[in-house]
Amino acid sequence: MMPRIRVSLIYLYVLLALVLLFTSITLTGHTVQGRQRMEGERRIAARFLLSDLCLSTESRHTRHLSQPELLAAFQDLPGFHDHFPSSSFIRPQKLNWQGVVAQETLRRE
Amino acid sequence: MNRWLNILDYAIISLLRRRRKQIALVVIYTLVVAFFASVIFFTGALRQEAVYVLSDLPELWVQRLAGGRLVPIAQSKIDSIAVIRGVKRVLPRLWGYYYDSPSGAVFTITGSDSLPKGLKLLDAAIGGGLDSNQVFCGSGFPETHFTGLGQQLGLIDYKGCLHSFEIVGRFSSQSDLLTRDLIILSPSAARKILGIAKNNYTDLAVEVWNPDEAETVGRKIDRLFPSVRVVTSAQLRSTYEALFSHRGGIFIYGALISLFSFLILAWDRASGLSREERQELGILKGIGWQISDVLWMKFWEGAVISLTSTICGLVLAYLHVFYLNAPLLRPFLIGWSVLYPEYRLQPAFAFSEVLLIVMLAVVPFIAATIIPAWRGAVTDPAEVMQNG
Amino acid sequence: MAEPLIRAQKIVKTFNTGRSNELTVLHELDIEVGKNTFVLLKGPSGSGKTTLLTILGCLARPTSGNLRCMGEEVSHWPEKFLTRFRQKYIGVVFQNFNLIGGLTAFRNIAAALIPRNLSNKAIDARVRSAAEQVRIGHRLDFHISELSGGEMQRVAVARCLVGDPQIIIADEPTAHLDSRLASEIIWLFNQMKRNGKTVIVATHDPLVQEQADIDRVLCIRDGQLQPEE
Repeated sequence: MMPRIRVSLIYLYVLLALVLLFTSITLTGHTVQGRQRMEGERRIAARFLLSDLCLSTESRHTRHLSQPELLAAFQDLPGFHDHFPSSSFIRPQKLNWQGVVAQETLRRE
Repeated sequence: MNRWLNILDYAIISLLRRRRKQIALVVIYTLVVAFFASVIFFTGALRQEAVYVLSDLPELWVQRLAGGRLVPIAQSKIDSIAVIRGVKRVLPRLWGYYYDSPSGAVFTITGSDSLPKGLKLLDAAIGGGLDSNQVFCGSGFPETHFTGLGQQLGLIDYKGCLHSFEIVGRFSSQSDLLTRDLIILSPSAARKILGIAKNNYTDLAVEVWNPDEAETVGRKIDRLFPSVRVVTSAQLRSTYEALFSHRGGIFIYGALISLFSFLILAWDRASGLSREERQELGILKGIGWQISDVLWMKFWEGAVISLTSTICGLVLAYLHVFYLNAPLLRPFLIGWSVLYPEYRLQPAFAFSEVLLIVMLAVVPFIAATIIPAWRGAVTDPAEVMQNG
Repeated sequence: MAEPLIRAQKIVKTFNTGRSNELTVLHELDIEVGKNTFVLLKGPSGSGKTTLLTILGCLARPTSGNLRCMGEEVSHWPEKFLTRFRQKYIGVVFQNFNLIGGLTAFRNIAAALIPRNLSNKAIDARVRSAAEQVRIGHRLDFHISELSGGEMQRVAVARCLVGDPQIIIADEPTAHLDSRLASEIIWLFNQMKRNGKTVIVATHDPLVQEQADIDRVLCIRDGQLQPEE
């Protein structure tokens, strides 16, 4: 009868394979297209003087993160009425008419 | 070498005895690590993108304030700032927000007469500057209004009059992270829509000759004009750092809490060495295992579970964030909005981050398996005989 | 005359020293065991048999007194050296066999070889040879829960033999066994003695005394040796 296979070796090979898988996806994930895209964005930002990323477009406080209004309190609070209620946890509401409806929505709540 | 493999052999076979339980443990552990690692990868990639994309901008931004609110800045200020020593160029900006009621979205209107040449991600039909009835836009407007290149785009000015513009350029959706909500008009058209008077601008970008002097020049401008606010590029970048560490932080804490509660559970399970397990350790000592052998065996038990789970978790997190674009995480980290930018992030791979994840995930678990075993291992082998 | 294999002098074992429940189990015992002998330790339960066995088998250290084993003064060795010594020279058969649940017979026997720096092949060969000695070779791949009492007992003996020890100690090896199985294990111990090993068995099973190839009987009562019968 053949001697038993070492399970430890099998495990070490599996572990090695997983490590290689991770390294290979991290190496291949970093694509040239991605670099080029970022390079293109960098040029656009420089050409049109765009100082912020378009992460969230819901209000002036969140659109230009680096240049906020100084007196706008609780800028990231969903109920803030200068801020269409949307945040990490609340989807934006569709408003028919700016301002008035936003106020009414707040009062209803 | 053989001895190590022997002990590892025993540890794995010993784990395989309670196969179902261990697999469940590995699965939960993997998911916890994947969540934690996703947050770190995602915020890391966004931070990288922000720092890279915004790296070519002027060093200073000057805004005029009245009653704490941003107000337009006059041409005369530009001239006074331009003569300050160290200032290379003053570039006025015209921008503002536009609420579009049909789509419920807020767009950013920018006035610019820059040429579209040399921009790979802008699909432009013209080669020169914008005419007063032409517009470049990001992917947001055409998508919400079902229009495209060559078609019309209607905007209502601050007096309530509708103006129509021809879309002559469209930013590729690849640059959504920067341009999704943009509407770029000629300066005169932008003034009309935003209601900014002639010779007035929204704010100024100031280039300096020596970036190291940006702070000094900024302080000088701040002193000379009492009603202005100066934002430096360093502050701009640190806003992004802060944003991702603030929002990311909440989730990292959340993930940490789940990681630790999981580890506490694992600890609880492991620390109460059952009678059976104590007996087994006693038997092993009785048949000639050293305390160190027993502890190494327990170490490998913990290492097998935690290393396997951590690496699987890392792989899952990577696929989730960079191949699937983090569907489970994105709304929480960057918020919801009508114009939701779709984008594929460029992986930012930092060895230190991976090391941090591995340390946080592996070390406590191994400790949780070894420390209780220590108590079991130091018991006298004679006890096993006495207790039969 | 050559030095005996084991020489114990004035062995005292006290548990819970210095506490109110202090208990002295062995009182100044002197024992010598020669090479290739079969020693039977007799005595009622609670007499200190098992404690003496753990000391002779280097599983525990005496509170005072000296123990020389294989020519080495081992009584005050630290745990680490004692374990190494035990690994090399002493095999133990526990009461109830103390096999490790959930593992196969093979893994149970091989467990004794794990801390040694042996290759996979060497372990395989040694386990097979030990298993053949006790005629359990055909059941090596079975989980111990699938084995009969007699087979479990043989696995326990194989585990004790696999390290090729000089001294074999066994505590009540026939307890909980019917007389047929008991006879079988006694036969195994006789075999070991025939192979040149020293066997020390603690039991109060009369069957062992009847059937085993015994050289010496030590009677122990209240932690002291009684004159031999």
